[in-house]
Amino acid sequence: MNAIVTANEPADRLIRPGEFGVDPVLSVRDLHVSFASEAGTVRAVRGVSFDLLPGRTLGIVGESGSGKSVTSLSVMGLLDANARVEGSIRLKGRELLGLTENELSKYRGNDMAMVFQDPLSALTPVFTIGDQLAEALDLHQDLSRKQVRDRSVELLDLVGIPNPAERLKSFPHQFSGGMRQRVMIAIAIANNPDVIIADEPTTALDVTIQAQVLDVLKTAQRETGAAVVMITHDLGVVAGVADDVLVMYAGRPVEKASVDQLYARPAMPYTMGLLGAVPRPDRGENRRLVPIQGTPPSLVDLPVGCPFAPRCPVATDECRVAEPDLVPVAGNEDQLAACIRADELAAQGVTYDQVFTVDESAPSVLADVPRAERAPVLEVTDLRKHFPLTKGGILRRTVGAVKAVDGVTFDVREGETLALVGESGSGKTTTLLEILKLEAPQGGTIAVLGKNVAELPRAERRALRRELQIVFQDPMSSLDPRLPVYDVLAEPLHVHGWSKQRINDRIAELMKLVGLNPDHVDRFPSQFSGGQRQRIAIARALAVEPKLVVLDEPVSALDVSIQAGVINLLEDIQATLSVAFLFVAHDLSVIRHASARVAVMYLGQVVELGDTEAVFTAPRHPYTRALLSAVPVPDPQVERTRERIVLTGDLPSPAAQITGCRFASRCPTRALLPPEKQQRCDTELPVLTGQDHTVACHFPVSPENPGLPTKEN
Amino acid sequence: MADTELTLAGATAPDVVADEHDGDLHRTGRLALIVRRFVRRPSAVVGAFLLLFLIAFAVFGPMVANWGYDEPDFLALAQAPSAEHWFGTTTGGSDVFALVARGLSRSLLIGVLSSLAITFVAALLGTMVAFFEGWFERVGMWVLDTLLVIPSFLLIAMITRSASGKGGWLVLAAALTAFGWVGYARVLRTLTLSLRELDYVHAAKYMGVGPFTIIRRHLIPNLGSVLIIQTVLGVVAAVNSETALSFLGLGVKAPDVSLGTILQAGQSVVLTSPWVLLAPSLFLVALTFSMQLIGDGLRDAIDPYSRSGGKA
Repeated sequence: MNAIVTANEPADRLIRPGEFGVDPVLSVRDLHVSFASEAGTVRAVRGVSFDLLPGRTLGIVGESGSGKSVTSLSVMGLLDANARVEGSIRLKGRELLGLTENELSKYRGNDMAMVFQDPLSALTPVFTIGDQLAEALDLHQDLSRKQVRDRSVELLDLVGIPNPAERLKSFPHQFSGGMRQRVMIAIAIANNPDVIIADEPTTALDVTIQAQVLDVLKTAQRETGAAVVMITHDLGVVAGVADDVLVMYAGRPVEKASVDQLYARPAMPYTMGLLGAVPRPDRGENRRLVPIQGTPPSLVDLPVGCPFAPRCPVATDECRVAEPDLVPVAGNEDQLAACIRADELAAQGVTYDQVFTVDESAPSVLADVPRAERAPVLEVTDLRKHFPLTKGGILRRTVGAVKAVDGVTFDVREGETLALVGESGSGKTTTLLEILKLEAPQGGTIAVLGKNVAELPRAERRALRRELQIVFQDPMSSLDPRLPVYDVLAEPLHVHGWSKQRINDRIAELMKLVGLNPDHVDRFPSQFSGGQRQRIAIARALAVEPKLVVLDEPVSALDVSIQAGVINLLEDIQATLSVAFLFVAHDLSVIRHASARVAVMYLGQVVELGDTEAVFTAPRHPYTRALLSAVPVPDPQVERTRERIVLTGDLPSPAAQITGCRFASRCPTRALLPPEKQQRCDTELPVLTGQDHTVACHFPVSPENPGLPTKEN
Repeated sequence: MADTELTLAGATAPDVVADEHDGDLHRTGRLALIVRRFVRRPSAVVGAFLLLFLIAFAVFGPMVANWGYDEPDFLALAQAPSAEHWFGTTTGGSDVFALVARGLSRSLLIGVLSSLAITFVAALLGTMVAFFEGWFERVGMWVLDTLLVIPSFLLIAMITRSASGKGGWLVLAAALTAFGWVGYARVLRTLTLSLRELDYVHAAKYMGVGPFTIIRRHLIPNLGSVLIIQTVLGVVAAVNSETALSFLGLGVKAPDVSLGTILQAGQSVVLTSPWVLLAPSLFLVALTFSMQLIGDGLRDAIDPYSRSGGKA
């Protein structure tokens, strides 16, 4: 049922570039794409060239707005009518640019196929999966009905959908997100394309599902022998799947190399910066992340010279004169970089920590106080929140309950960060909302600063609001676009009746605390970049000096280089103000970096809770182990050699009635147990046991012997 | 390592986000910002001046006119514009200049008053119904639906019929308001449904901001452009309703005049004395046109995403 596989065996690396004289299947030369906009011409792509060899995977990485998606869309001919495309795109020697819509349709889906980011909107909801697969097949092949059916079943089987023959009749809404993405891949490979373009194919998925889908994509590539263009912002994903990597910045490729070369010896400062900014899930050392200062330039009026120069610590005056071309780096002709100092940097073997500097982290005022002596800020005991499921139109009757949160227990102490981690549907957000409501929960107790919120009189509850603040995921929607920053920051202060002069002083102080220019208080949120907006949201949360700040995915909407700065800011704030953070995130690398303790949630329950280092180095719950092994590591060497536990199946529906362990249906440990022990997993709900590192499993993985359950609880 | 030399040689550090700051904070108020952005748009300024001119005309017109609106010149019946009667006279000998000045002030008052009142009531109740979920929303929706099916025109007619004399226009404005807000409130409620799920509304709630402050500070301003267009078009709609009612003899009644009653008098003699129709029509068009320009300007000034004032 479950397989422990070695990921990325380097066996099927088919062809090296230039060897055997293989012709590229896709050849892009000097591609330029520009859009007309109100502000002026947006030059989204400026001179991209690459060759794609059969069977190879090219990873295109870059931050948002770097032009990676526009490149892929122009290859597919899917750009809007207001886009101007220049250059050359040749598919197996045939020029694609300038073809009419009808002519292009012959190639699309047949010779080249695309897998989109959002599996929810990429399938038509009103047709069955079978119809949509048949459509893809019928368009380009002359097949009988039986052949179409057989081929559809074969394809669904290939992408790992159980009971393919029956599932053909299902509609998209009957599939989970991961399953839908598998169907998308099945449709993409239906006509044995030569090129598959995958645009952020796993960004919308959870890590364990991401691992499954990446494997399916690899299988699909092996079966069809297609070349894959993998577009992503995730350096971990690229490290695992790509053969060659193209790094893009401000619409231009700035570095191109084989994946090993790029990660081991980057030559362009931007690439170094990206690698330094990304937190590593596999390293516990308390290294400070290295942010890249500033923000990417506007594509409407680009600066003269290298577009990265304003953010580059090693930029010289020469850099600001002309934009450097993408040329081979001295000493390694396979590596191309667009930097006039690339040779110099490569020759000296410089790495990011020599190029980019970062301030020392602020010393923590609570560093010497052991955890046991710190006052608890938030205690959640056996929290429950069930949503009734109703049926019927007029006479509504309850037919069941969605157990969104079902017995969650944890505590957060002064000045520490507890991370809540879990896949979507695990109940993280519901837990947060229950805490933030400051009202009596449906079941269990919530105590803030030692006060049980269920028993609070109204006035005290209002006062307690001050101690509990929140930072939301999306800085676009968490700030009122109609209020200048001053009013945004003044809002919580007004609530607590501060005087005008005090508010004025406090706002100047806050702006400096989060690293923004206090003179910018008159600007509207839309005049700030995403990272700056998130800093404003953090400033607002800190305004009234709370004891606990709830961070709901605070960095997941930000680019890597910006994210590092925000994480560092949060660390400094915690160290100096000794505020506690309840940090909710799905990105395990960020969590390992930013939190002291971690609670792993699965289907509304905490399955493992302990110090981050202990949980990450010696996970005891089989789910935690699977989750950790699924996280891609931004290091191709590690990606190729490490073992990955691929969980089968999806998260069960939270409405399902499960009497035993909630994880039993997907548990790799249970599968190895004798039947009488399996019986226990199926019937008895495990509870959190243990001292400091607690785990809710009947047969936890023991620290001495990871991999096999040895200890009976 | 010798590499540290490299990073220093010729390197210019990128700008740090926070500059040095001298401590005290100077800022421009929100109102000042809006005014500045409004003034930046020429058409809005033209509209504002046009409206100012119309208001001045309504206020000072009767003072400079040779004749009062209620003292007909029986020696000059249906006369073309002249030095004595600037806009001519009606068939009854009334001075059109005086009539228009008086009628404009009535129509302006009725239109602007009832439109503002409608927007205010609709915005408050519409957002409240959406914001206080639960039973308040259910009862509120029930009330709104009930009010929508009441034949409002008939009721307004009955209410204004019972009122008489010079105070009649106030009753008319109130009646227009009482039955005009329901449809708007429903539209605003629907818009608020999506607003109330936004993170900044949640953030304000979790900060302990009171519900009415949230409605005032976050919900209503974010409906701003809708409200402004509604108010502007509401003036036009209210003037239209007033005209229609006056035409039927149910709105503003003699001896009071409004643009509606003059138009009605003018349209029957349009071939013989066109000036009676022309003057009030021009003023009516000027009034609605100026409101439209002001509305556009205000929307752009309040909307932070608009192109009119990125630099403010």
